[in-house]
Amino acid sequence: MATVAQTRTQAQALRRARARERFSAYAILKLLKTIVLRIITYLILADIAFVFMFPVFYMIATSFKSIQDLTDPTIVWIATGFDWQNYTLAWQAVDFVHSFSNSAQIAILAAIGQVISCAFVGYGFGRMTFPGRELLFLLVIFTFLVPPETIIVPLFILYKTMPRLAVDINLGGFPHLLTANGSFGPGNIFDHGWIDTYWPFIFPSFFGEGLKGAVFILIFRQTFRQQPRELEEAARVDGAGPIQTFFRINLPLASAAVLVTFLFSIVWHWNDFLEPLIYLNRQQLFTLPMRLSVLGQTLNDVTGGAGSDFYNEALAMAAVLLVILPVLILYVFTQRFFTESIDRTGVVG
Amino acid sequence: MIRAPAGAIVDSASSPRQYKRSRFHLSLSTRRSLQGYMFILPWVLGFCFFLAWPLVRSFILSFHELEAVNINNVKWVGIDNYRQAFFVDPQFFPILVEQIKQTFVNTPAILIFSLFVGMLANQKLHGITAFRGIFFLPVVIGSAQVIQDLFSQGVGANTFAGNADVAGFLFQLLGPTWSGNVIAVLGRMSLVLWASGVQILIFMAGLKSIGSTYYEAGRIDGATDWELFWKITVPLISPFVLLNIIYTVVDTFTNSFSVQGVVSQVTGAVTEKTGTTVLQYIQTTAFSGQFRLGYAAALGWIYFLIMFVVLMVVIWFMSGKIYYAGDR
Repeated sequence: MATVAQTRTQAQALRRARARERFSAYAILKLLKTIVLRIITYLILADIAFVFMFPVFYMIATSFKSIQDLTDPTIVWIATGFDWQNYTLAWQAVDFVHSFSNSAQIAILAAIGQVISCAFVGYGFGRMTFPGRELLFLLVIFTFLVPPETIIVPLFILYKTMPRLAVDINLGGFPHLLTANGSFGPGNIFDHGWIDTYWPFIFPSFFGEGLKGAVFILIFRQTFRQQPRELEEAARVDGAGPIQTFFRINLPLASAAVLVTFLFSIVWHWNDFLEPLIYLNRQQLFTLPMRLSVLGQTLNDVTGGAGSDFYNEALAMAAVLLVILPVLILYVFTQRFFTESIDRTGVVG
Repeated sequence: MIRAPAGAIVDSASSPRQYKRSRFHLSLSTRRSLQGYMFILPWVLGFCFFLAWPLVRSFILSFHELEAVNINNVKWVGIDNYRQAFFVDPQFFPILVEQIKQTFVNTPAILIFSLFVGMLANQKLHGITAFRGIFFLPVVIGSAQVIQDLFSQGVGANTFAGNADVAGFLFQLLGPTWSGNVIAVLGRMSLVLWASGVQILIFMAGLKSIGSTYYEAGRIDGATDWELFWKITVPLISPFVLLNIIYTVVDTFTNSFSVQGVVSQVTGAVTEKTGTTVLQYIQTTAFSGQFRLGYAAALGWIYFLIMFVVLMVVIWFMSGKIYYAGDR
């Protein structure tokens, strides 16, 4: 009791002292100090933000330059005019509509797979009790540590020997014939199984693997762990089985984790480059980022052999911008979910 | 296995549905376990087929010679592939050393910067969400090919700390080899920042988890902001530091791009070049030219083991320095 009274009197004294000091020289100095500190903070923030944004600015500024602008040393940022030719050429060279459709198919289907499987598995790890759970979860973490190239050779052999499925996923309009265009004759090592299909990206994602699947399992595990147990018990008392409980009670409550997983999965699959390069060989199947590596060659095809006349830094930047534009637009609208992802899902803590 | 209590038996007898279920004589705990296994079954299958088995097979393959993908044409060569990697191949070892060096130089830089940026972005200021959005941008557009295209154009050079005096000073202080690395980090600061999006998020979440009561108590006792940082923030954030170190090491080891600062021995100026990573080298070994799959598998295993050892060393080194509040 005594301490409470003490603190109360202390607080009163403090308040009185504050009222006295509000307009004193000391208070003004203090106010100035906070203002200056705030300005400095903003300056540092703006500086770092500039470093982050610099490549994007550079890309946009360069992409509009004509050849004369590129060689002119007096022009650093602003081009003399909007040169849309770079974009029209880059659009054709990356075969935008097609490659976009290819990328979107891989990214969206794999993301759906990862959301479903990782939520299911995450629920098992977060909510169920069974012998060996901790050990198995250690193995989940372990999968995150294995570099993709360590297992790429056996995986390639595995996919090569997989039976060709009746339905090939490719909405882009190119039917999957084993020897389309005559470009791959019999005996070609790539001409088998799941090579040159999108199954190597989509199939594993339905089994909690795929690109960074371990991270998503971790996200769902933490999310389900934090949900109140009472809801499940109530559902169980009402006669719901575990699967019904999961779909009716727990999954709807984990919508934040579902969204975060979906967005991250789309973005990571979109940016993935190494794996498509191994499993896809025909250019009709290329994803958008893959197009950048063959830009000079396809530019040649588009311009009828005069590609080297048109290929320059500005065109390359226009192509890069076209490649990242879809995810950039997605990010602008869903930025909040990315930056709040860790808070919302409570991965740490 | 614990038998179901007497009550359960009475219960199952009274309800026909319950009786049907207990036909298999499963106790409640067994049934719960089986349900748990059912939930993780997809992952178990995926793990076996797409990770464990390929890993084992890659290990077996690494002792064989296998060129092109004619799987019937496998020849046992013992540790020949490994010997070749370290003593014969003129390319692999330098790339490997370069990558390890980069990891050791980059990781502290990424950590310090992400902590700094995380603290800044954690303040309550107007428009801070916009800044957070910008800081996370690299994760969204950080495609390997895009970054390689960008940085090979020299975008990252001299945007942050391209000060020639700093370079010269470090050159004298540390000698040509190590000053090169430090200057390279400074010179491609935008790359370091670009690799720290997730780390910033983790630190922000960590900083938010520290209760304001600690700071209030410290301030009442007369601690300055500097002291508060070292005595309260640093110990309480240390678990997140470990998490971030692990993430950064794995991330740099599994990234398929690398931009190396090349320091001129004469002027100390930094130019950038996009270097070959071990991952790229393994890929070209396996899937172009002679399709040397067995050798590529050996390289992959060497790489994996080295990454594992680096991680273990880091965790062992950090384990004594981490403060866990409560039973976290």
